[in-house]
Amino acid sequence: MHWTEEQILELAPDTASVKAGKKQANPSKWPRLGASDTSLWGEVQGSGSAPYQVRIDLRQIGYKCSCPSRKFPCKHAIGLLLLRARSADTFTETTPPDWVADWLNQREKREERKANPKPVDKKARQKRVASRMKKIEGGVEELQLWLKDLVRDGLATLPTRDRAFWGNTAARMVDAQAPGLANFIRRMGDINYHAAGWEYTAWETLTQMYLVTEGFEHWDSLDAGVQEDVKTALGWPYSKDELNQQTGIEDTWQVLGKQEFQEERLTTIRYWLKGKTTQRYALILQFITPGQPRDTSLLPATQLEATLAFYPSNYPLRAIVKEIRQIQPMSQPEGYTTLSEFEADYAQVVSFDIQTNQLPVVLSSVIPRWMSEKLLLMDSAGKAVKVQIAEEGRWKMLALSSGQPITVTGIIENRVLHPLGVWAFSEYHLL
Amino acid sequence: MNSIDEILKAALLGTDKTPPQSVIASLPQAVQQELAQLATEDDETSFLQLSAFMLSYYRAGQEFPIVDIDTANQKNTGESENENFPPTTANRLLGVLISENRYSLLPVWLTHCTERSYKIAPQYLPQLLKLGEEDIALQQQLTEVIGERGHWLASLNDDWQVFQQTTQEIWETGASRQRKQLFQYLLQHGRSKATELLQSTWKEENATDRFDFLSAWGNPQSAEELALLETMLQDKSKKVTALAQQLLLRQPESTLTQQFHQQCSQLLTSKEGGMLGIGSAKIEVNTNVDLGVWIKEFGLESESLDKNFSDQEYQAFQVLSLIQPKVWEEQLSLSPEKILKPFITDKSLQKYLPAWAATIAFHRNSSWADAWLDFVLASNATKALLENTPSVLPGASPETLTRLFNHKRADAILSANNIIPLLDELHYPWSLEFSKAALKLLYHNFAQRGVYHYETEAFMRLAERMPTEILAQQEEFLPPKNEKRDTWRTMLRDLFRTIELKTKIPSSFDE
Repeated sequence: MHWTEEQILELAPDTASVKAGKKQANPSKWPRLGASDTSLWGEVQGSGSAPYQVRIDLRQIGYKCSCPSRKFPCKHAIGLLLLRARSADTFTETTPPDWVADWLNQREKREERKANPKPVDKKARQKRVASRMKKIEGGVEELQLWLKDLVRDGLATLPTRDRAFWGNTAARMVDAQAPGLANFIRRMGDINYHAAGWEYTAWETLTQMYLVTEGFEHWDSLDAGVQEDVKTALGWPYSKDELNQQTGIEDTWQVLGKQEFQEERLTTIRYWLKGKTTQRYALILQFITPGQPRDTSLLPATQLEATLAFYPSNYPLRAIVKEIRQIQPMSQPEGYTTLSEFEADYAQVVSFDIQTNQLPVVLSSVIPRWMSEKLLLMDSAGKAVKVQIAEEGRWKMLALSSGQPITVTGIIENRVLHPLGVWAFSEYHLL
Repeated sequence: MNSIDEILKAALLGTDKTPPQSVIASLPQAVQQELAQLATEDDETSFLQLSAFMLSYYRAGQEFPIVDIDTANQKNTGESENENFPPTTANRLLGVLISENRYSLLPVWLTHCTERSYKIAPQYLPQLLKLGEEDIALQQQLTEVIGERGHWLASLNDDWQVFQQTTQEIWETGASRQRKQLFQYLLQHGRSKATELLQSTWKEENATDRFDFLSAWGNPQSAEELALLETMLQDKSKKVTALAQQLLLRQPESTLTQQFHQQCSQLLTSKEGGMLGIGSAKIEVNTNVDLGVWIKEFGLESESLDKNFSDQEYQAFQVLSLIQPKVWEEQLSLSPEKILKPFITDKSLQKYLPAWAATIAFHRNSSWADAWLDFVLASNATKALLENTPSVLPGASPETLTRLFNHKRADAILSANNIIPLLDELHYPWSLEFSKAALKLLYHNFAQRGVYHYETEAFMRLAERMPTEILAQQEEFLPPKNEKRDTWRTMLRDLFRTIELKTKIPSSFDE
């Protein structure tokens, strides 16, 4: 599979790594280069006397380098990939040496272990669940009183509330083992009460909190999927071990794109996928702290023969990758031909899950229009969705379309599309 | 949705001031009926139930607007245009050139694209249009290959309006910088058009622009251009007139030059020296030749401020600096070597040596520059000869320069301050031998010191002249592994990377 430079540089953990990786992509630095169907390898001269050994697993996208860098992938791995993309003929060896073959074997064994996890102790789990439910019950009761006080006094009092008002109640929710409720309260405290439209945001958040507490109060009458959504909202994480017990859903999963967010020292990466056969969407989350390696097995603009396990929900979207069997370049994604079709499905999704704010979407046959300094995507019926995109991406989208219908993928949030990519000229272009 | 506004108003005031029943009563009947089925214990719970219900409806009921657009302004392109894009390897290489900021290679890539009548693939259009905003030469090349798609895209962005303009429009309405860039481009790719445009607005240009355009236009290339240049001797600006004179002095066919040479032909006379006329020539500078007319014509100094020169000698010095050296070959029937030798060896004539350097440099005469360097490379080269050599070098042949670069005497003439500017002036393609000699010189002078930031652009331009074969010799010019020299190492790798990419361009179009 040929990776574009764009795809390779997407793997870099930061801008400095992009620059450093490009510098490494010089054949004169690599006294040894080799490639097989499943791996790449090379030896590169560093500042030490012995060259660094770099290995890349092409099946599951993994890297290992003997350099001391804590970045992942390091500049040597990026450089090796770029070299392969630019000058494949310089990779003269074809049989992996021992230090590459041993590493590949270890990775295979690890994948096998992941696919067969340890069984869960059900009795202990039930005891933990009961204990937590009791604590949450106390927290929910207290929160409902707090919500009623707010409603009675009116939201107009909110701008005058100090940090302690929000912080104290949030802390009590954390004590009640309901950190999700604490997050809701902090969100209300973080609203910019000077900005236009704050009233709607405050009301929406307060209402969502109420729905979660009511959901808890009527737990036994809820469907299993709704119960899981309430648990998620409460901040009660679902065990990964339990997820791995699931059979999972096999499909060809198209990696439509990724979004990265930085909050203090935590980087959150959202990978958005769509199943070619099931037409299901999936969200894979990665949380990375400084120094922690990234899992770069998901490469935007590729599609994976893979099995995903979904977190239980009334509208299951979040998932983990159980197994990847093959990676290929992405084929054309299918999607809605009109925005009305999307509206109907969107209405159903938000009725399933009151908290869902972001929804992935593939829109086939839309035309980008640049009007009055705004970018819109218009369908054949004249309906339009606003597009939020950086200037560079905007012009690229317009150029790929040139006034003709194209397929656009993205995330819709508050009726605005944040594009991930465009399918045009038989290729998927990341934005 | 007005209902939401009513709910928000009530939410702001609180249930103490606005009981929820008043809000419920304002909602559609269907909603009221649903709400009536919910058990409620107090006004607050009632309001929260109402909010939960309406929030779900509000979010589920959102629709995208229908937008009425003026389709006349939204051109529907692409249907009429054949998708004749370059092969995948060429496109990928273009992506590499852009991502690595190898913009100096874009004209090479675009030339191949134009020759094969390809159009730029859409995903690269925005970046190229952006680069063409400030670079008119690039913009002119791009105009040929962006196709209808590119022109349509450019019409949407005010910053790209230059792509909508014809050459004539840019010339007539563009900013000074744009006009000068356009002029430079046309001089390389359509000199007659450049001349035509210049003539069309010459009278309206200000003096500074007339000087700049004339400097760029340079030496006339035809009898018509010569005639045009001669009219510029009447220009109102002294700077322009002086420049026109200088350019004409390089043209043996011009009336001015012919008169000048004729009237100054007796400035030098020769007598073959030695036994039976064999050996060094004896040359005399005849300071009694009346040069007054030319001193005045060319604005030269009539009085000497140098104690080594009398007034007449100084006038002769200045005139000698302007006369084409080839004139003396014919006048004196002597070779350049025989004419130069007395001025190098004879103490009474040595003071005129800088004048010879000036005229050889001014007229860029290759055989005279080579003759000069032969003396430099001889074992008895004088200090005066060496001091005056740098200005002569750009005119020398590559073969002679190669000998100089490889010679120990190069250190006495060339330093880190003048090597890169000299090499940057040599616009012809370099042979492998010349490239190796130049790189050896550069390594010797820059490996320790490093290439400074302001020198980088000129240094990287050298890659455009070096042949592909030099890539196999890279290791010779890298410092040993145990030596840091990181700046030089990086610059050199960058240089070779440019050569490597330049080499790949033609074959990338051959898929």
